[in-house]
Order: sequence, then C-alpha cells, then structure tokens
Amino acid sequence: MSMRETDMTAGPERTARGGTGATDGAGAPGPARARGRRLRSWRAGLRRGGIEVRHLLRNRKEFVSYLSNVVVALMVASFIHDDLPGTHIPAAHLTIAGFAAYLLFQVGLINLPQILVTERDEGTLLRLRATPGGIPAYLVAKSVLIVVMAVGIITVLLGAAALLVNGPLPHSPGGWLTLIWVIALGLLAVVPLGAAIGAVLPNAREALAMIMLPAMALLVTSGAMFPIGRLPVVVQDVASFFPLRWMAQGVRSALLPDAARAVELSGSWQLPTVALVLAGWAVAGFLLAVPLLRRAARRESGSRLTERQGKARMSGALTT
Amino acid sequence: MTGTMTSTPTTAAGSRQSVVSARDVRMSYGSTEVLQGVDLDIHRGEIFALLGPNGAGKTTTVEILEGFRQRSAGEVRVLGKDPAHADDAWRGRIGLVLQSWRDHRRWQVAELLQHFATYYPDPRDPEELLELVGLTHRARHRVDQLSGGQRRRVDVALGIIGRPELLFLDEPTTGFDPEARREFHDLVERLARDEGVTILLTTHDLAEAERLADRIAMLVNGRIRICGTPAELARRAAAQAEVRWTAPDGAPRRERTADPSRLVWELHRETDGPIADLEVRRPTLEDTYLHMVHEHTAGTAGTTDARDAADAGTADDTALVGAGTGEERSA
Repeated sequence: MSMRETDMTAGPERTARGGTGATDGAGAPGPARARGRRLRSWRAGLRRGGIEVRHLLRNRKEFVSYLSNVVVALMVASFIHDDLPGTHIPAAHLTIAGFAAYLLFQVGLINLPQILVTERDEGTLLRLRATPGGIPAYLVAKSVLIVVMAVGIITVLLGAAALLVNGPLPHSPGGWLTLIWVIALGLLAVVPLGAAIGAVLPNAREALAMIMLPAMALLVTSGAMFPIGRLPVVVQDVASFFPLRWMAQGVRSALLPDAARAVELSGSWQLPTVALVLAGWAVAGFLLAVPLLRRAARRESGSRLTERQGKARMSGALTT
Repeated sequence: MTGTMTSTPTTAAGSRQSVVSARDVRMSYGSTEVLQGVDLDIHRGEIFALLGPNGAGKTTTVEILEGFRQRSAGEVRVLGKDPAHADDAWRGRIGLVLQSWRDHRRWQVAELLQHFATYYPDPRDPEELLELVGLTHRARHRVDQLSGGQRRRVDVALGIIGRPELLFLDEPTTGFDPEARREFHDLVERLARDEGVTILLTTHDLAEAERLADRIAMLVNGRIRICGTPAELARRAAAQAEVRWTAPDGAPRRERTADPSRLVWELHRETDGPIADLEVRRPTLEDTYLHMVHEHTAGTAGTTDARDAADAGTADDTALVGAGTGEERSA
C-alpha cells in the first residue's frame, strides 16, 4: 500500500529505480509480498467460487438441466421392478448407485470441460490471465464450483430417490464413510482429466459432441445401469480401464448391502482396486492437466479470442 | 530505426521517460516475417496511437508488448521489464481493454468490479469507478443486459481498476454510435490528462486517432513507417492539397498542387470573378495514411483498395475511410 502512495507522487522516478528494484526484490519485502499475493488470490478464488455457485443456482435454465439428470435417473429406477439375480435386493438400487457414479463422472468429464471451453471462448480465461493472481484464483473457484455441483447433485439424487422410489442409502457409518471417500477420489480421478480435455477442445459446441458419445458408451458398459457380468468379456475389460466402472462399484459398496456382492464380477467390492484405479487416474489427470492448462492459458491473447469468435460466428454457435 | 522516428515532437522527448521501448523487434511465422524490425518509444502520460492496415503486424506488436506473444528477436521494455518474462507484479501495472471480450456475462456490473478489485493491492473504489465510466445507473444490471458501448465501458473500468500505469486499448470504439464514441473519448482523455495513465491505442478510425493521440505511429508491412504528432504527420503527407471548382462550362474540375493559394489566385485572374464551388482540401492524416499504405505495400496482394484510394486524383475517392477529416473551405 505504501508503495502505491509513493508511486502516485514520485511517479517519474519509478522506472529509473525499476532496474535495481528487480535485483533487491529478493530482499526482505519480496517473499512477504509474494505470500500476500498468494493469499489474496486464494481469497479471490474462494469468493469467486461462491459467486459462481450463486449464479448457477439463479440460472433457471442451467439449474433445470442439471436437475433433469436426476429426474431421468428416478424415472429409469421406477421402471425397474425385479431383484438382482440371486438376491432380494431391488435392481433399481444398482441403477441408482450407477447413476450417482455417472453424474459425478459427468460433472468432471462433461460439465467441467464445457465450462472451461465456454469461458475460454468468452475471454474469461484471458481476463484472469491479465489479472495478477487471476489464474490460481480461477482454479480455486472452479474447484469450489465443481465440488459444490457434484455434492449437490448426489445429495439431490440420493435424497429424492430415498423419498420417492425407496432408493438406497448407506446402512452404517462405515457405508457413509465409503460413500464420502469414493466421491472424493472419484472427483479427483475425473476433474483433472476433464480440465485437461477442456484445455484442448476446439470450441464449446464440438466439445459436447466429442465427449458425449464416449461418455454414453461408458455409461452403458461400466455396469452402472445393469450388472457388468452380462456383457462380453472384451467389453468388460475395456470398461474396466476407465474410472466409471470403479466409481460405480465403489458407490454400490457404500449403498448396497453386502449380499449384492454376488452380482459383482469377482464376488467382492474390491475396494482396494477401486482406490488404486481412481488414484491412478487422478495422478494421470494431474500430470496431463497441469501442462495442458498452462499451455492453454499461455496461448490466450486478444487475437486468438477474436479468431475463435469469428469461427464460432460462422458456424452460428455464438449469439453476440 | 526508421529515420522518421527520431524526429519526434520538439518537446524534450529525450528527457521524458519511456514506458514502452522497443528496438528492432522481429517476428516470423515460418518463413513470413510479420515484423521486420519495429522501433517504438512511448512516453509516460501520453496517448499513443498505433495505426496500420490489417495484417500489417499491429496486433502482433501489441501482443508482444502485452506479454502474450513471444517475439523472434529484438529488445522490448515495458514499464522497465521484458514482457516475455512478466510476473504478477508487472501485470498489476498494466491494464487491457480488448474488443473481443464477452466474459462474465452473468455477473452484475457492481459485483464484477468489486470482485476484480480484490486482486489488486490498491484498487480504485468500485463505486467511484462506476461514476467515472458513467455506469452508476447500471450497477445492478447483469453484464449481458448492457449495450455494446456500456459493455466496453465495463471493460475499461476493469482495465483501470488496479490503477495501471499503462493501458492498452484495442479498437475500443468499434460498433459505437457517435454519442457513445464521444463519451468514450472524453473518458480516455480524462484518464490520460487527469490521472497520468499512459495509453496505447490501436484503431482503424483515423478521426479517433487524430482526436485523442499525442503521437501516432503507422505500421505498414512490419515496420513503423512514420511517427509523430497528428499535425506533423498530416504535414508530411506526400499527398498534395487538392483544389476543386466548377469550370465556366459547368464541368467539375479538380487539381492537385503543392501551392493551392497560387492556383486559386491564378484561377481568379483567369475567370476575373467568383469561382463556382471552389474548395481547397489540405492533406489530412488520412492522406498520409493512405500514402504510407500505398508506398509500402505496392505489389502486395489484398491492398489494392488502399492503393486505389491513395492514387485518387481522378477517381471518386473521398468516402473511403470515412474519417471525414478533410479541411474544407468554400469561396
């Protein structure tokens, strides 16, 4: 603050001193100022996250589109009346657990890339790049938004399912604990990956088309909707490579009674494998996302923005 | 350095501080050399306009100065630092207003300013800022409910919220109606005169450059071809003054001359009476601009329009750039 005051009065001397300022920046005030800046951008990021959550809640259209996922899940579940083979557990419970996992997956791998691409094309990313501490604040804000979205959707889904279609909830504190760590690790597995995808996708409209199909394919093949054992072994193997299968299995282990293990491929919940696969995806996602996001932010400039907006206008994707 | 650069205004330019200084900046994409040695000095507190046709390297130059693009060669100092290695502290001393910004549409204007104030160590007061850009009555509106001109003023407010020493304005009044443009110009002048903000303006609007800029540089084909005050630039136009009148037989006539006064005097002697529709057009910034573009892009594809216009001694030339800066006098 005091520095700024001297700037105002002694402006002309500033660049003259600039040369030495760069070298004695390593002195006493340097690290303190850097810490102050970091703190400021964290605070800005948290506040930004809060504001974005508020905007999401106020935007009826978007809010409805997120809720519609829940409605679809409940409708599908209400049409399933049989039990899981060899048990007295309603098959609908498996479907609801599968939808819970899928909606997490969707927040990370579809909603997040879409948000990132849209905000990049509107210039939000460039604006924050041009703002001191803007990019860290942006990442903090997006993390807040994604966590709130994911937890919100899961809560609404499980709450509504329990109230309306007699859906499953964890039976014990251990079950709740499992649910929490599976959600947390599942998000860690898909969010960095989604950020990496968002960093490389060309534009918002194509983005949706490019990720929607593989996501749907995984939804069907990952055992989220019906027991994975009914699928050919090759499909099982492919699906087992991706995180959704393991997220769904983890959520099932939290929501379904142990008798439901009979339907699992190995006859057990395989929680250590769930943790390992999801952690692996989390690490891989971070390794991909950090350089890709850095590259995306570095490449942003006014002319790139104009260029992309021109292209978007040509294809009619942008309305301004 | 292009000889024209050194003859900057007669004021003690040497003793004034350089906020931006560029020496022999080059930029190549593959084998195309977009910038072929740009030299630039912008002094503290001045409004500096960078003009040039599309594709001349204007955007590349500005983005190198903004730290968004790596140059191929040359020396650049912006606020004493190399923008290629800029840190957050440096970013905080720069403000940007880009024409392509459509961000934060859902945010309320006041909310947006308050939020961006939190990134800076000593921000302006958001309410005073709203007052300054004339948006107090729109404080509670969402950004996407604003008109184009109001939206751009939000961008200006965000650009100066951290009290930058240097502000980049990228074609800021594109799409403005005349009133919005006038208000915007007043705001920019106030920032420079009252608050000592150095401003680098890129624009296609020559009237805007002439009205706002202390100095103007023209970038054509990857080099600064001429640089000086608007008056100097207009004077240095190779284009001559044009005299128009209607001959006694009713035919419209026009002639180019370095000495319009002598031509008019001769005309008066010849006709021995008033001359119908007499008009003297002095060389304008527009003439200089078109002349520069013509001279330095001859033979380059895509610039034929400008060349035709610069040649215009015979054709219908006037409305080409639409700047309407012609100094007209009728008898």
